[in-house]
Amino acid sequence: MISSSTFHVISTELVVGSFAMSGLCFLLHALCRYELIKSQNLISVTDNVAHFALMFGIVATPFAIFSGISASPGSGLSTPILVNKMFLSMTGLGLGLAALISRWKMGSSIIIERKPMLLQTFTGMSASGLMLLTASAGGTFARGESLLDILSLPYDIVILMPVTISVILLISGLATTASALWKILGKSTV
Amino acid sequence: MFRRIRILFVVTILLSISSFTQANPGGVGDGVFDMQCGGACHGDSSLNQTSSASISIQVEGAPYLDQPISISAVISGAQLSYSGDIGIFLLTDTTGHSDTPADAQWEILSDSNGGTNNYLEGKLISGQDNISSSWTIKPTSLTTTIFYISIHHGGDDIPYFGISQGLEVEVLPIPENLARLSSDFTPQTTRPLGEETIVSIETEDVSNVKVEWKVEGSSINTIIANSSSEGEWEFTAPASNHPSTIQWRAILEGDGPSQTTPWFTLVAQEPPFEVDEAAVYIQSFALFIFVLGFILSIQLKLSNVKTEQKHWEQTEEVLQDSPPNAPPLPNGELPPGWTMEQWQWYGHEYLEELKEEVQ
Repeated sequence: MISSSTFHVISTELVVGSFAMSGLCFLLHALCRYELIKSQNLISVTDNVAHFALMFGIVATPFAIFSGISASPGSGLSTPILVNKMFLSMTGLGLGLAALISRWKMGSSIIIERKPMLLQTFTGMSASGLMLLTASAGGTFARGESLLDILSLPYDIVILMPVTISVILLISGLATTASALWKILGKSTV
Repeated sequence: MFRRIRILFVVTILLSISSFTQANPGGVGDGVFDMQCGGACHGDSSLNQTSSASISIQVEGAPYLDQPISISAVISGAQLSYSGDIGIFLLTDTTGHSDTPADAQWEILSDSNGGTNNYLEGKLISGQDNISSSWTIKPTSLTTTIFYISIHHGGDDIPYFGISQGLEVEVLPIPENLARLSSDFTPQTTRPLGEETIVSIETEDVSNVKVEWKVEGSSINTIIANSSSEGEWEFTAPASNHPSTIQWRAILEGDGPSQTTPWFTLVAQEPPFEVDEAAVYIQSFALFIFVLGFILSIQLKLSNVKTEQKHWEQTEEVLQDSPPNAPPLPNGELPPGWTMEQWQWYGHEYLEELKEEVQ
């Protein structure tokens, strides 16, 4: 049996590696589409790698979150950094899942047409960025330093909404997601 | 597809639960726990192995009724350095339940971490091989109690457990005219950073109070406490600009026997971070689900699902089959009672029947 902290290290390395790979491939894909990189093979490769790496990262993320809560001292939310890590990772998870479902259920059209492709690239890269930010916050918490410290990010400030607002956001999010999935699954081309 | 999602969900839940039911190498935080916490803090207590650490326990002060004494513990051993983190209990028996000081009619006035808990967590500083903790407690009834120190720590992926020899303390009645602390005196245990702190002491049968205080690792300073009113004394602890601990004790003098109190701990620290955990979890999930729905909705609007759908959708074409070519009208007119649509579909049958009748 391994301890929660060791399991957390393993799962976070998988998450960070996968999301970093995914984000890089989303960027390369966009550059190929705008013909800043001229390679037809790279278009297909970056599309596949970006989404498969994203899927792998999404699968590993819940394990990283749960093991992180279990391994942290006290209740798991004993410092502002840990609260911000929770918000960042869950938002990143939502963005990543949205990108993956879009590509899976809407087909290749979303990476061919300009506007959907831009949104898909933005979503994928944002998910990667938020996950890397989460990892950076983890480094600051565990070791007191991180590569992104040069940005002087305000990890000690927590923007916590009133529960009422969160519940409204949750309900509207559930309704929007259910509606979107209903339409997507009803019209899936796959 | 839904079957696969269900399997993935179940596997995820099982794996997540497994991480919660293990030991807590990060600790559970200070608190009031009995030794049964060996199950809660260290996962399955049957997996515990005996720690080789050495535990010494000693008491300071005279154990008079309602008067504080100090119990301190020093834990040492190379095995502690494997994980560095250690949990230390002050217990009053070894049955595993109902064994906190409160269960034996003792009140914890302060602990060395600045709280009033019987379970403390500490970290072995790199280069050291021992860690110490202390509690200031007072008896609330005339009783005899055996105190134990129990420890939990990790190492080599194994949870370790240890317990000290018992230390018997018999509570005595208060001698006549004993210079003493008031029975309802509760020492201040924490204070904010950057501010001088006025510490109050309530006493009985006391005419003079001297206070000794020290910062860990430095020499003892002595000051005279000022009397603020009958039986109340005050002294000022200097400000601390960074988290630190000072210890102080009072030398009480009066008409009766003098008495020196045990060391009390005063911790200067930043206010602890507190947050409504339920609100954090709700907001986290709300952010997740809202972002998911928002992006999917926009992508749905931008993408050409409808166009592509029409390209593959041929149901209408199959259903709306065009009628066969209409046969020529006999004598240039529709037969009586026919419509043009009926003629287009069934006109050729009418002509064939007419031809057979003529033959």
